[in-house]
Amino acid sequence: MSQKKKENKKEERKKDKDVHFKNEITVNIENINDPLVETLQNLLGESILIVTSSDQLNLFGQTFRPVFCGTIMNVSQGDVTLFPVNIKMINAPFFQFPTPLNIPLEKIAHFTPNFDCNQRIPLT
Amino acid sequence: MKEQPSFTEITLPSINDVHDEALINEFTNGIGKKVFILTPSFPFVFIGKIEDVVADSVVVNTEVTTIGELENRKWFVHIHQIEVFYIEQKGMPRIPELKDDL
Repeated sequence: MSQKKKENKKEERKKDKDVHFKNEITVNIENINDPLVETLQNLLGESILIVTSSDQLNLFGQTFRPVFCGTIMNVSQGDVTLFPVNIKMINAPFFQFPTPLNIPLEKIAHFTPNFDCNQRIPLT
Repeated sequence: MKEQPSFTEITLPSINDVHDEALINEFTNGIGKKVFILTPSFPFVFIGKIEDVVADSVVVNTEVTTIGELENRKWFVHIHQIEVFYIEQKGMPRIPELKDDL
């Protein structure tokens, strides 16, 4: 941005009236599109490998890396539901969790679509 | 060095806010249902009925966790600390009666 443009922008800002809200603001998000949710919705019924953000999780004394592999059953604005879903336990890499699992979108570190959940991967 | 145009505008609400709020909404819809929660923070597991949602915490009447001494009490769990969860749904598997000897 040229120096002149920058100065103009600053002046505009000064002209802007500061707006104050006395209460919280409610925003209608009905028409806000979310490309990530759309991407996941297009993968409904496909298998996916999702890694979440923490280093490890713990299930009754069993520590495991948060690596989940399963079929996308449902996608909402806040999370994705996998069922059936494998948890890659170190000593039971194909442990199938008895219920569906929901993973918050904000907790997904990374995912790869169309991953074959029967594939062996080293978990070191 | 080419001068990079500076980033001067953001859009509200941010997509992260939408995801976070939608998640709170999901727990609010689950009040009265049984929930299974995994979090990276001690004690790692909460299983019990969702009693209420207070701001961005879910109140769980915890029947089962890793430590017996911490069971059978109300736990306020920060929703944005939850890594995976399952709220019991009709027609879907029930949360098993998990025992410590799993």
